[in-house]
Amino acid sequence: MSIETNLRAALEEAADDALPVPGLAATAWRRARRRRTAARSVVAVGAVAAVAVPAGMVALGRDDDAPGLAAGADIQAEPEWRELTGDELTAAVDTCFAGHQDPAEAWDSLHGVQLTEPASPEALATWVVAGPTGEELVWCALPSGGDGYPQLPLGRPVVDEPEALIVEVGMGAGSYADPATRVTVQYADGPEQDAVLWNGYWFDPTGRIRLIDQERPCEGPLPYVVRAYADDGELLSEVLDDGQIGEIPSGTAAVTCQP
Amino acid sequence: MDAAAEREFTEFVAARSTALLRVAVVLTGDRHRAEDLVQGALAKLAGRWWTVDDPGAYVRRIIYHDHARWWRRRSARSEVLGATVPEQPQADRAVDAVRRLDLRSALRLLGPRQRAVLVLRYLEDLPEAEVAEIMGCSVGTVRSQAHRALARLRTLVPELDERTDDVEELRR
Repeated sequence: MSIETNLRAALEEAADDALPVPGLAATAWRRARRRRTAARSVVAVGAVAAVAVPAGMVALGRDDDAPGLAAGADIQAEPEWRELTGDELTAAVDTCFAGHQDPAEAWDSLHGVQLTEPASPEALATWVVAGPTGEELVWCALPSGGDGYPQLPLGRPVVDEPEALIVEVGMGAGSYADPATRVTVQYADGPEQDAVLWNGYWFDPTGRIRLIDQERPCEGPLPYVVRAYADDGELLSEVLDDGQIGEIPSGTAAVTCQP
Repeated sequence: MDAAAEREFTEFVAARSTALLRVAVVLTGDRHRAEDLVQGALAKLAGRWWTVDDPGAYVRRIIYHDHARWWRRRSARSEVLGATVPEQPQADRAVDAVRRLDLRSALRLLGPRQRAVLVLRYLEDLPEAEVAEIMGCSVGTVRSQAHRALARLRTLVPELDERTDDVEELRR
């Protein structure tokens, strides 16, 4: 038998493990209804892996007097940064994806960005962006000291119509698109700062984002806010992370917190 | 969400859920994980029921992408994937059954893209163009991923390419 014939037989046999699930449609319909209701009530991240907030939704559910939400004046300039060299990128990719999948095989393009003067050895200061390949985009973030566990690689679909601002929760990074030309990051207690912008992606200029899990809830002055502005200064989109741990499929939680 | 839309959605799920669960179980290698995956994908489909032209293709895309995302989260954690196929079962079993068992183990060692290509091509029998649309890549990428996946399987389970009688002879 050819490998294809054996493969078909093996796949059919494996698929036979599937069993009917009672009430599948009703449960899915209820979940969709709950999701729509929740989306109307608040603009906050923490419950989903990536959040896009289209222009026009910025005022939903927010208190204009809340600290850290006043957009506009006195924005600090972005820090110094650079693209990774080929060797640095290879090393970063090895750290991010070692022992799993060969990135050169899996993705058509790889890029790396690094803050040149990170705030601390623990701060996230190096990001690897793999793709986009088709609809897939994969992120990885590394501490500046070179030691420590990388932030989880996060594969996500590329949206058909780019949003003005997308925040990849826990990565300290995301993407932006026309008409956004400026992205800022602000913690509740700190100044608003320009994010590092590169090729449609933004990166946290402070590197203060870190990954936590269910055992280590957030502490410190949240929320963490990311904003996108148009060329004329108009606030297009605002994403607030209030530090609430949300459900993600793996059963772990990714949120942004103060270190 | 009116009653007519919910009824249409329910009919769609009734007609397609078995096939979706079969795909998901092979993608994930775990029945419970597969049920969660399909449940989540159907919830997303329900939320966009009025705007999706081809619900079958849409829900397949969601299943594929959600699984790929979950796989990368999992692989970024402490779990270490096995580097080799588990030991073969007793030699007195039928050779083809041995092969299929090995193949199922080997499939778990493939990345999500390569596994998805094999599932869509060889379990669902979808044409390359449709696989490409679901995975959001070119037909050329589908071909190259399928080629690499088969090559990896050949490495992991070399007997797969041999004729049955040859293998039986070798096992004696």
